[in-house]
Amino acid sequence: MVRAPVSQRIITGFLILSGILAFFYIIASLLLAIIITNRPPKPVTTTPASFGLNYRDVSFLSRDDHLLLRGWLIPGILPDGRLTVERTIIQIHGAENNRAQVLDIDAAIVKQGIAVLAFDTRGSGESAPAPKGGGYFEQRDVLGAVDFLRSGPMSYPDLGRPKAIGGWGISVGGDALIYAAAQEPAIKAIVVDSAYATMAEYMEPAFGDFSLFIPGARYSEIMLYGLDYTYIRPVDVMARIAPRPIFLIQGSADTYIRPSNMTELAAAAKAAPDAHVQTWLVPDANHIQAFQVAEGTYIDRLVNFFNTELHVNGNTL
Amino acid sequence: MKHMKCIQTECENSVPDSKEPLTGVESEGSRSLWYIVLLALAPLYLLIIIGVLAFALVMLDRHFILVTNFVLQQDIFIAILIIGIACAIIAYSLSVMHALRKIGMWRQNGLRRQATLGQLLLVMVASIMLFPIILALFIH
Repeated sequence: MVRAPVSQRIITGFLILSGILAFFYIIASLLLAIIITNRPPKPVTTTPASFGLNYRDVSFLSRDDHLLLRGWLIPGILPDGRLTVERTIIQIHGAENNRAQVLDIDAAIVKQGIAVLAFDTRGSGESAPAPKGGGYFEQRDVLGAVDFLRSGPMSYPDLGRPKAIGGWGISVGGDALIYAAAQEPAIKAIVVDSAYATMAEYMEPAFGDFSLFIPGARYSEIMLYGLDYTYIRPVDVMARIAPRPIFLIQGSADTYIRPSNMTELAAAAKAAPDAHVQTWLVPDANHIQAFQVAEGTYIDRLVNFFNTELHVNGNTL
Repeated sequence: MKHMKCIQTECENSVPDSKEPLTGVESEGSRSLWYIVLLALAPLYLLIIIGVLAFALVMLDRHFILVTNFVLQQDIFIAILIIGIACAIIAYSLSVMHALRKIGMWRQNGLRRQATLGQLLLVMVASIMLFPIILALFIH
């Protein structure tokens, strides 16, 4: 048997190594893209009833792609005990969570006379399975919630329809809200907590030790889901929300979405001549922990914002 | 052309097992520049063809199965990807083995220039395979 020359053996080794590395990279990138976009939904294990609240299960379709979304409509409680949906805020949860993420804060809000529509975004909780878009696809869910409140079946027919709709989004839910508010004037005021300015800023912490696979996962997501994170830039649409008021909240110790994201979003929003922007950097709060670190103050500031900015017939209630 | 094709086919059929001593003289057709390029770059263009086919099937899946039926859409994605990757690994392995065997035969037959060109092209294939990873290291 004739032994192959050294050069031939080196080339064979190089071809094997490059093949193994290339296929490993491709497989890992595809897997990461599929896993990130399809994380299993977190089950909804509690209801507003556990906070002694009156509520209705609701379901509606996302705008444009008609996915079935499920949620709760929790009417506000007026000082005399009557229920109201005149001012309703749409609450959008963060990634890998569901409509119950901040149910304790929802409870505090409704006790101030503001109704809450909390729902599971696509692929979360009990809503239809669908690829998650880091807030980009989810804007259709928020718009579907607006359509539901304006023209869907009334869960509380005796309470009528909301006269003013606001939004409160957490993390990627905040980004979904920014996109939705930028194109839907029916959303009159928004609170955005811990949202990214551009998805590129969110990718590196999201991938952690696997950041080498970001480019591969990017092209995999483009191919599989039509989602290119480099084009997901809520910062670019912030100025379109004016003159409607915006309240941006961020933890100063956020290692996942850095506080500079809030600064960028605020600066972009203020570029509009009639902008109305407030910011609050919560000391020592990590990602989506502002409501835990500053619980009482968080609720007070949130409710005060909506009390001041969410008008019904030109007046606050 | 017809003559060349005929010679090539005969040559392919008469390729001896690599374990046996190589005594036959290969035809001019099989040693032409284009033949060497086609042979050595086969791992690359076969991967490209499989990749394009898989991409087209995924696009068809996305087009015909709406996101409202996402579970089915996703199952088909995964099936296409698994089959595509399996085909790609097999195509890459077989085409590399075939090219290396041919280059070995040329070398033993004293066709050093052809063998060297084939080797250079295979090095290029391996480098191109690594290029996306190297690029990812710098741009991620």
